[in-house]
Amino acid sequence: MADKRLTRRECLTRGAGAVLAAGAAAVGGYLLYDPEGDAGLLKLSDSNARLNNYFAEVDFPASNPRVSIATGDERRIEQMVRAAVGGLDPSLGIKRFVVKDDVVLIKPNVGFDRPPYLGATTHPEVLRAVIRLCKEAGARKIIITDNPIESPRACFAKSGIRQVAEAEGAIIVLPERGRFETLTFRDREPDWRKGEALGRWPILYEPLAEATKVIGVAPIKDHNLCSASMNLKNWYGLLGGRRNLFHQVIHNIVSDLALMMSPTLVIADATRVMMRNGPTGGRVTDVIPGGKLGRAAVIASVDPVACDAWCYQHLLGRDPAKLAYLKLAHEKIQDRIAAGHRRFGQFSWKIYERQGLIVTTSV
Amino acid sequence: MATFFAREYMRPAEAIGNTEKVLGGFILFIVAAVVAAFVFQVATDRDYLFEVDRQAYTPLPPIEATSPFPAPGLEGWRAPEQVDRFTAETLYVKIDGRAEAYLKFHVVGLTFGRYCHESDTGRTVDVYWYDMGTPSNALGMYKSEEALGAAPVAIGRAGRQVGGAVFFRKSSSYVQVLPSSLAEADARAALSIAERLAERIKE
Repeated sequence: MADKRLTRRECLTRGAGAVLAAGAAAVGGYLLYDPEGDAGLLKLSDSNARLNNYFAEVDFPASNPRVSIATGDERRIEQMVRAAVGGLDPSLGIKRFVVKDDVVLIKPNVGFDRPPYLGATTHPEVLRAVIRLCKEAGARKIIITDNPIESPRACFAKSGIRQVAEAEGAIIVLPERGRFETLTFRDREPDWRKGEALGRWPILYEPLAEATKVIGVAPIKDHNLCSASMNLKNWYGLLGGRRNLFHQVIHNIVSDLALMMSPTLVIADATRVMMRNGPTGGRVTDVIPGGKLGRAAVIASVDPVACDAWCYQHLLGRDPAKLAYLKLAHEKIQDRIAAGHRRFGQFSWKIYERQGLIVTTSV
Repeated sequence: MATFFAREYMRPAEAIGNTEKVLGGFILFIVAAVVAAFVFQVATDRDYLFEVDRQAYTPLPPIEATSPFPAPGLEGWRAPEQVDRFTAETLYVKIDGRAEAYLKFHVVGLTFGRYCHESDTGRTVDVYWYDMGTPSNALGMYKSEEALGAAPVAIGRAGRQVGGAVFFRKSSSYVQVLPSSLAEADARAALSIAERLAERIKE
């Protein structure tokens, strides 16, 4: 039998091969290692998204009304919307806010899988009228978006919002994963004791980044946690993540949202006001056209805080002084205005009334 | 000693004891008997292997019986094809902002189903079936949301109908049956569904 003992050369060659194989395996393992595991699948982009001031480019005369109320018959919703928006600027109307080639994002409340008659979502006819106004003003693109916790497709369909948007040529942007970005609202942890809630949080950013103008169209509703869901609370629908965590500090988060979002215009849908069992309702007797006003109404405003205060008092019949998020929103926005930001955020609608900046129209 | 394959046994034949030979022969006999029995069974009674034991077989219940929601009892409507269940912890997914009102009354869970009209998918009747844990919790929640001026209906306990929607409680359940419109036909469907659902809930 031949002598098969290993030579020195073979020993070195095989040893080097083994070391190379082990090294390649280690490098491969390192490259393939996923330190986050499944948690990485849920991670949103680590961006530094910032929101525009969508009111900044509106050349709004100081003497123009800040809150415009249109009341009328429930069957004349489009006329009410036109009258309310027109009341803010009798000469230009919607063209004061939307100009040719604007990309307008309209944010209705589509939070629940409920039919329109229950008043849990924005009335589709109010939305239709707003879309038409934007088209008449020359908007290049009109986006409709919201982030309901329930199935977005079901909510958009059941509320009638999808049908109206499609019929009027607007584009519905559903809250899909890739459309969220992490917004840095504060560079530090929020201090809940100081009325803060938002630090860094995912928001439905893609449509907001594309938009040049933003219009909120919110129904007026009783709310189990924060007493009322109106224009300011409507921005809650832009938040992603486990936003129910904010329920513990609901007034902080609503006031933070008021600060975060500076819209071009807000339109309160009071065609039917949910007076109790909100925000979901369920009984037709929970809703009343115009609420305490006794007549269907649409309110347009460039000041979401004042508009909410007015609606809270006149539609829900409650005292705005007792609504914590209104006061907080006012304080936060006033600080921002003092720092040079162009926007409105007046807690007391009575100040506007004394200045003649609230107008009412009946259609 | 050479073997069949020209290998050698480990031990010579003289070294194998009688007991070992008897046991080896017995094992070979058992193996041969098992093989013979198997071949005999397969060759003579193959169907026997595939025959269903009728005594042990219990037919699966129809789908309707496994769903918590009964058949609508109205022509043109079909029972929910999907049933969504929510616990107290996940209730916010369905009724965000309202869930806390139910949590105050110690809600255990929500079962949701949607009845659909066969020819018009836009026509639906939604059923929110809350398990409140105890009859007193169900009563408390029911009363807290009670509608003013609702018409009484003989469904469950203190059944009410308002604007076509039916609300009732029974045992620890609190049920809301909501049609998608105020049309009279949808109100009738809601009433029929509520009646059948109430029958299914045991006191």
